[in-house]
This record gives sequence, structure tokens and C-alpha cells, in this order.
Amino acid sequence: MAAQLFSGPMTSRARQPRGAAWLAARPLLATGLLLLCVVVGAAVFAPWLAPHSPLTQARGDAPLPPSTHFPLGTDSLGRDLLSRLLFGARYSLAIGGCATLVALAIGLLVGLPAGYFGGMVDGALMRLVDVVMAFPSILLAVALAAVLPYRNLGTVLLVIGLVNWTTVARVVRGETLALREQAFVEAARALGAGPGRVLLRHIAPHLAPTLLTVASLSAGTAILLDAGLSYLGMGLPQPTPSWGDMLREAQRWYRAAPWLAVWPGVAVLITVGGLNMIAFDLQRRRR
Amino acid sequence: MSRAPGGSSSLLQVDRLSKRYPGRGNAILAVDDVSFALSAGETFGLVGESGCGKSTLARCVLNLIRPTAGRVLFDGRNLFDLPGGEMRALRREMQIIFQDPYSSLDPRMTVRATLLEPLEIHRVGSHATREARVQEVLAQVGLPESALRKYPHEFSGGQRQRLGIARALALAPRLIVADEPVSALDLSIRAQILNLMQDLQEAYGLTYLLIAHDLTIVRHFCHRVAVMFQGQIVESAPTDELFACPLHPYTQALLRAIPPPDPDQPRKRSGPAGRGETDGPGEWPCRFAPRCPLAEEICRREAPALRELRPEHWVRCHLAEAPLIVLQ
Repeated sequence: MAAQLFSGPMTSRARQPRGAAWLAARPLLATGLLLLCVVVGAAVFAPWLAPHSPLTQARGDAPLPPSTHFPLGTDSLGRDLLSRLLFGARYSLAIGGCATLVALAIGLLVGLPAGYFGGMVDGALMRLVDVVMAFPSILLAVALAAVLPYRNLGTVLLVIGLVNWTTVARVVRGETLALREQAFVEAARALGAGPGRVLLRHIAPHLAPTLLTVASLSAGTAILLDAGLSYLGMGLPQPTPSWGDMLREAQRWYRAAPWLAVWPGVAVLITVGGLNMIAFDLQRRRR
Repeated sequence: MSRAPGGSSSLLQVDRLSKRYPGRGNAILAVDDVSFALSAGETFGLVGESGCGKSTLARCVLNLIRPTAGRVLFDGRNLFDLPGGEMRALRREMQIIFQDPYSSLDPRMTVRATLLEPLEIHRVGSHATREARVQEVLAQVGLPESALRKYPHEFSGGQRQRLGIARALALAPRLIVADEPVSALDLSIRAQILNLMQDLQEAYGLTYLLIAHDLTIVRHFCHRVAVMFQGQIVESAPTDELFACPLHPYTQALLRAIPPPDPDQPRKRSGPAGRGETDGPGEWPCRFAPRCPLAEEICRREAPALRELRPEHWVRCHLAEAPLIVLQ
């Protein structure tokens, strides 16, 4: 039985370092995950970590420089900057995550049929992508935010998702185009599978590694876009502690109280930087 | 027996099928006016060199590629006239075994999911009967039940091809198109897979359209053989007839190229099939003329038609003549 001789499982991918050793071999991923953990930790444990409420205003002069009572100082309304930063992490992460989900959903909805059907469908959908991409994203976001009747967390992340989906759609289309030619996709068609089943069962699962990469990049972009929107006064309304709004606020005080601008900036940098490091590492690993 | 072009009581009838791939100035006629018919229970071999259009033909027969012209009648119904839903339903009757057992199985699906898929698509039976059917076909292709939870990469090439056969078999089709089913496998595995296919043919009464580039496989496996050259069938005959009495110079060259079973036996060396590569079809009325050692004036002037020189034996050559005596 010659076939029995070769029946053992292929061992080529069995010997992979696990756990700490695996992470140590990928410093970029490790750093990115560490930075992201810091931000997630800040968001989750904000009520316990924060020395003050993010909304209470201290009496007296404002803004106050860093002191033992206010470790990072207070803003122009006398609110503790550290507390606002910690609670702001919640909003930034929620927006980064949810807006990315919106972007992924729209991107898949557009990219999968464009790549799979090709021809007219592809042409029409990709021209739509071109039109959206032709606008600078912040301009489009401001325009969309201005059209919406009211502003809350939901509408803000919808706006950001509606701006961010084009990259996802392009990447998904490209990958689908390549996957469509795979023999196992043809095999599914030969079995009688319709386009819906082929796309969901045989193409979408293979997009997962790519989508993870695109998602980490997109989450970073979403947080920056939110900061930009808040900075322009089109983000979440006051007194929400959002990093972008804190930066806008700091602008008026940049000579008298430079710490107001530094710390929200550092927070954005850590979050976006961490996400990008993860994205770059994942991208590099994908063959 | 049905006759090569035409035939009425056949399971599959390919009628004047053509597939042209458009290109800037150099469109490729991958399949050129091909007709043949398969009766139920028969194995029909289609041989030819790489790029002669046999895989394109196989995909047109299954309506995976739309041909430029022609009809494919399955049970008398033209596949290209059927609405999408009916076509998909008809796929239950006609399946394909792929050349490459590595890329034709979805690497992210377990064997169970892979074998369940055809049954799910066609909504065959209940959940329990589907599971039973999966185990049945798995046993029929000679794989243990423990394979169900594994992924394709955990199997060898021969085992993967068994999985591909099991998937094609799950719906108990009537026709299986086998596109070079063993050419990606080790020599030692080939006979096993071919024997398996033969056993399954008896068990299920399958009809095979076997695509191959290897005449030795065809010889032991097929009832009838057609030889393809640059998109056209140049010769077709019952297998024994073709091997005993090849009439087209291309077939003769192919047969000369088969190495003798005994390596010590002195072998008449011959050149490649004809005089080497040419620029592709379209320039000569007879496609084979540029490579043909016998080419004459008429071959450069007129396209040869398929002629039935002996019973069931069709040849596309001006110069071929029926021999008076054939030594079997």
C-alpha cells in the first residue's frame, strides 16, 4: 500500500515557536500589541485609574500646570487632563473599532462582487470608489457630518466608516480577483454553488488575514479622522472627553499651557502607532 | 454505438463547439468546431499535447466556460439554453475531477465540510442521511473515517485525489469529466487512482470523459479515443482500432513516442511529433501541415475534413487512406 506510506500528517508547519518566543521573533508586532494594550487598559480601567472625574471643574485658575494633585495639569475649564485622557481612550477605541467594522462591511459589500463578477459590475462599483476617493477624506467627513441631523457616537462612527471603506473595497476586490481563478473556486462552481455561496464560503474566509491588516490600518486612520473632526468642531459634542476636541481646545493655549497639546497628541500617537505596527507586521508576514 | 459526429441516443453530445479567446490581433481559437458523443457507461479519452485546447473543451462541456459557438447536449438538453437555476440543478448529474489535487480542495475546509458541500448545495436528504452519504463515499474511495476532521494539507497527493473523486461522487452523477486526473501524481499512485475510477464506474455506471496527454493511460482505460491537435479533433476511433491502425500522421508520431515497456529492447528513435513548434493555428488550412513529414501541395491549399475511413474511425487528413489489412 504505497498510499499508506505517505499517510502521516505533513509536519512542515508543526515546528513553530509558541508564546513568548514567537512574539520575541516579531518585535514590531510585540511593540504594537504592547502599545495597544496600554490604550485598551486605560480605556477599561479608566474609572479606577483616573484621579478625578473627567467632567468636574476645579475651582480657581485654569489651566493649571502639572502638580501632584493634577499629574498632567488641568484644561482651560479646570478639568483634570489625565482623567480626560483616560476616559478619552474609550471614545477613541470605540470609534476606531466600530468605524472600522462599518468600513469593512461596506468594503466587502462593494469589493466582493466587483472582483468576482468583473465586467460592468466591477466597472460601476470601482468608479463609485474613485468618486469617493477623489475627495480628501476629512473634507468628505465634514460634509457628511454637516448633512446629518444630529451628532452622537453613532453618527460620528458612521461618517468615519463611510469615508474609510474605499481602501477596504479596493483590497478586497484585488484579492477576490486572484481567488476567483483558484481551482477550488472553480470546483465549487462545478458542484453547482451559486455566486453567494462561492463568495461567502470559499472566498471570504481566505480574505481574513488581509482584512486583519487592512482593519488595523483603518482603525488608525479612523482615530486620526475622529481627532480631525473633533478639532474642526464636527466631532462629539462637549463635554465628551475626546482627544481631538482636547487638541482643538489646546490650540488657544499653546503658548501659556503647552502641556494641553502634548498629552492628547502622545495618546493619539501611541494608539495609531501601535495599530500601524501591528498592521505592518501582518502585512510583511503575508508572503 | 454512437457515431463520432452526431449520434442520437447519447448521454452527452458535443456539437460543433468552438471557443475563441479574444486577443489584440492574435485571437486564439482554443477549441475549433469539435463534435463528439458519449453513450452512457462509456469512457471516452481525449488526448493531445499541452495547449491543444483539451482543458478548455472540458470546461465548456461542463458550462464552466461559455463557448463562442456550438451546443453541448446532456440528455438531449442544450446546457447553454438552460436558465441559471436549471443549469445549477443539472450539475448534480455532471461532475469534474481536477488535475491538481492540491489547489482544487479548499484549504480552509475540513474533509467533512468539503464532502458535505455538494449535498448541501443540492439539498439532498436530511442532515443524518448527508452524514451517512459522506461516510459512504469516503469508504468507497478507500479513506478512513478519521479523515473527516482533517484538512487537505494533511494528506498526500494520491489521498487528495481520492478526496477530489469522493467530492465528485457524492451526488452520484452520471457523467464525470476527468481533467488529467493522474498527471500530477507519482507514477506509483497513478494505477491505484485509475483502478479506483474503474471500480467506481462499474459500481455507479459512470460515463467518463477522460482528458489526458498520456496515451498509455488512455489505452487501458478508454473505450474510444479522440486525438486533438490545436483545437481540432484530428482522429477518433475505438481504442484498439486507434492503437492498431493509427491513420493520422500526428497520431502515428504520438504512438511512436511511447517508450517500449522493456528498456533493453532496441527502440527506433524518432523525432518529436512532427517537425517542431509552429506559430499556432490559423496560417495553414491543415493545422498539422507545418509539422507534417508527409505534407503535400493539397495540405497548403485545402482544409481537411473528418472522414470515416474505417468503421467508427474518423481522420482529418487528406493523405490518410484505409489500409487493406490491419495486423491486430
